[in-house]
Amino acid sequence: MHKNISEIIASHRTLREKVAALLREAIIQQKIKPGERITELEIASRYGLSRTPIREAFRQLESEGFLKIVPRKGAIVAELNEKDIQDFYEIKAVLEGYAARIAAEKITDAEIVQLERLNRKMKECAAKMDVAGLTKNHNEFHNFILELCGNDKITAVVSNLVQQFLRFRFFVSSSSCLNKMHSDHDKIVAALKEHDGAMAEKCMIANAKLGREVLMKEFLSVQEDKR
Amino acid sequence: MKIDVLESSIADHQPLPDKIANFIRETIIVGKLKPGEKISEAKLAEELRISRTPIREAIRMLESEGFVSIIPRRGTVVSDFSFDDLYEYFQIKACLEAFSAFLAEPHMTERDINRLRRLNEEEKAAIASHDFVKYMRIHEDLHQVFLAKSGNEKLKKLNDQMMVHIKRLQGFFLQQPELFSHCAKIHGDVIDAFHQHDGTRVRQLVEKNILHIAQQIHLHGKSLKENA
Repeated sequence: MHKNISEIIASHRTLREKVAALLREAIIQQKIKPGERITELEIASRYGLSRTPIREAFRQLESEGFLKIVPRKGAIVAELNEKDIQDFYEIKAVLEGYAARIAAEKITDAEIVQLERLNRKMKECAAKMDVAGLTKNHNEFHNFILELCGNDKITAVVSNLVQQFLRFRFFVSSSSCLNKMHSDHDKIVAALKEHDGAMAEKCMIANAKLGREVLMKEFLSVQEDKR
Repeated sequence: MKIDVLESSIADHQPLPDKIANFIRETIIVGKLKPGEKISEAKLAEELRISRTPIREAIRMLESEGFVSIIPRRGTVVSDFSFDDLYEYFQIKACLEAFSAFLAEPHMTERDINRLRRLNEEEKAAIASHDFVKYMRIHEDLHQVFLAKSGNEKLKKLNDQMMVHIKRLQGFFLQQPELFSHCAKIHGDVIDAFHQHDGTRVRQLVEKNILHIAQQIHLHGKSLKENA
């Protein structure tokens, strides 16, 4: 009996989730641009759905930071500015630092080996100018550390934050930047290997700072191009 | 239960659905409505003497907060929760709130610190007179003084979101008044640290305190659930 009910709840939630996922993707892909307005009615008629799941999807995306609901007018795709990037990175840094601190206590030898493997792959991709590969391994590296702390809500929160910034394609282009990144990651792995929580936290936060500088640069150059 | 929800709604300038949601949420937190129990819109409409539309809106809000599950054509049920899950949200809250306090420290004025001291005195008075509901309110007010001053809007929003998840545990916090005196003392230390402009110490104290509360609630709540 219990199983039936959870399945029913799950399938009911699915519609709202599906609509939210569709809209989220469209925003990330810049198909709907920052500042653009969308209404429940147009989305409902486009997908042939009632307004209720649309309304709920809008609310969910608002809580995630993608939309701003304007009463009786629909919703506007959230615009981002420099302060947003700064605020976002402050949070990412502190949560990743916390996760690294806890991970340092628990990390096993097998997990260290995995982490070193990911670190190596990043260096290989960077050397080959394989941007997609670098991005993929970079994300895996960070997610792996988040998961190590054992709190999967932290992973969900950070990944939600990261998603809001996927619209800015972020190329770590300069070689000095890449070298700094590799050095940061080496330090993080070393600290985790030593089970030094305080050091792991410190290195993680420094790495987030680098990420912020890169994203900020990319963001500002995109703003420049618009003018 | 005769509650004049309409009247108090006008007085507080709070939208009706929010008011109703608060009322239902309270009932769930204190355990008057238990996980698995059905919530009838019709019955509520009758009891509170309002139409079903704002009630439905309130229930949808509670669903997005995780307090209830709406099952199509079956109705609304109080959802179950896991202490382990809530403990994880509490850990995040500890991390974020401690960081907020750290960011707020440079912006704390003499007036703010005096306000904190006054609230700390009120906390102790509430504990002494066994007014634990009042204590909870002052505890919240005290935290809000510095949480509002971090300068990071996203951080505040995220912290508020964590708070919504943790609200389910409020009832359990109330069952452990011995935690309150401990809190009141730590708040005193936090205020001293603010006064000394020691942001790092503020951060350490706030994080340690919230984690301590989280652990106690986790232990106590879990054993209650297992023995139920």
